[in-house]
Parts: sequence; C-alpha cells; structure tokens
Amino acid sequence: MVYHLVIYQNTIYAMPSTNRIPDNLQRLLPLRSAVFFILFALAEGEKHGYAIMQAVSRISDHQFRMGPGTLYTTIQRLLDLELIEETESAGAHADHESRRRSYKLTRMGKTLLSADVNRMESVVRLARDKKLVPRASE
Amino acid sequence: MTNATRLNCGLYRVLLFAYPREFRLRFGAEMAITFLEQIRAERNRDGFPGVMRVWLGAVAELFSVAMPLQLRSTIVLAMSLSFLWSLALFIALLRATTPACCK
Repeated sequence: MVYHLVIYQNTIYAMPSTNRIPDNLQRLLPLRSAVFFILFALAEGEKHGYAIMQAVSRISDHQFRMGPGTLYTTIQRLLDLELIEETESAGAHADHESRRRSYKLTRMGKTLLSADVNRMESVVRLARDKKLVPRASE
Repeated sequence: MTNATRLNCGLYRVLLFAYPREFRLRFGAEMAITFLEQIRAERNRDGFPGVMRVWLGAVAELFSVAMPLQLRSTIVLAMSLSFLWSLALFIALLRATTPACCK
C-alpha cells in the first residue's frame, strides 16, 4: 500500500493514501477542543445534542464543558464541512422530540479525527523519546 | 412542563435572539431543548447552584459565541465600522472646536 508522509508542525506520520485529507480540511489540524471532543463523542455512535454534551463531559473527565451555543455553532461548522451528518430522529414521542436531530460521523470526519489522534500520538512518542514525559511502563 | 421549566425555556428563547437569525431558525429549537435538559440534570444533581451555573454559561456564550457570530455577518460588521468611524470623527471634531479655555 502506498503511504504518504504527512508533515505537520514537526510531526511526521504515515497515512494510507486512501485516507488522504483534502487541503481545505488540513487547515483544521490540530483540531480545536470543541471540534475534537464532538468528533470523538460521535465516534462512539450517533447522538443528539444533549447526548453529545454528556459524552464530551465524560470523555474529558469533566474538564471540558460546553453550552448549547458552542455545541451548535460547532455542529453547524462540522455539517458545512461534511465531517458529520444529520440522521433521522429516533424518538418522536413528544412535540419537541420530533424536532430533535441526531448526528453521526462521516467517513471524512473519522479520517480527520484519526489524523489528529495520530498527530497527538506522535507528539507523545516524541516527548517520551526526549524524556519530557515518563514512559507508560515507568 | 412545570412553571420553572416554562420560565427557563422562555428566558432562554429570549437569549436566543442574540444569535443570527439564520442560525436561530436552524438550531434554535434544538438549543432550547438541550438547554432545558442541562437545567434538569443540574437541578437534580446540585439544585439551585447547578441551575445558576448553567445560566451563567448561557450568558457567557452570548459574549463568546453569539456576538462573534453576529459580527461575522457583513451587514453588522459594516454598521459597526461605520459607527466607530462616525464616533471617532465626532470626537475629533469636538476636540478641534472646543475652545482652549474649556480644555
């Protein structure tokens, strides 16, 4: 398989050519906290707004919290970039439930998320090599 | 829906007017639902302080999210720049026309 070397902020990592990220999405790396956590939450499966909020709080060990304003402006941006997509609402019991939309990650969203995770992994590896942080086994 | 929930919902819908119209039409209803769920969860967990925390977050987002969104709209940006330019011009003229004894 052909691999491309992606050089990003002194970090070099290999990506399969099938998962290349378009140039307009490259500029999103490194992902902002809100974008990263929302993509991460949706990597677990499709969710509606409040479920995303809860998942973000859990994933970040309650270190990162966001209100509806931050959540939905980020969702709008991710929808426009086709990193996530809307899905049909599962629950239509009450009036307000029928207006609820769920979101799921697109293939490009998954690719971008894994690129950022790879980038972080490379940084941690580099830091360990330079003995800036202890190794996991230490 | 209890009275408190109705009040929270009504007040939050008023806050939503700070967001650009297009954004509000697309996500306003969902934002209100999410906000109410946040309020319910915090009230069950922490009571009144929890509800206040959610409200503080919502008000903070007016400045950190809604205002920058509004400013991104070209019309609002043009109006803001025009206002600032007029204000600067007014202050300059005022300074120039004020007699030295009044300075």
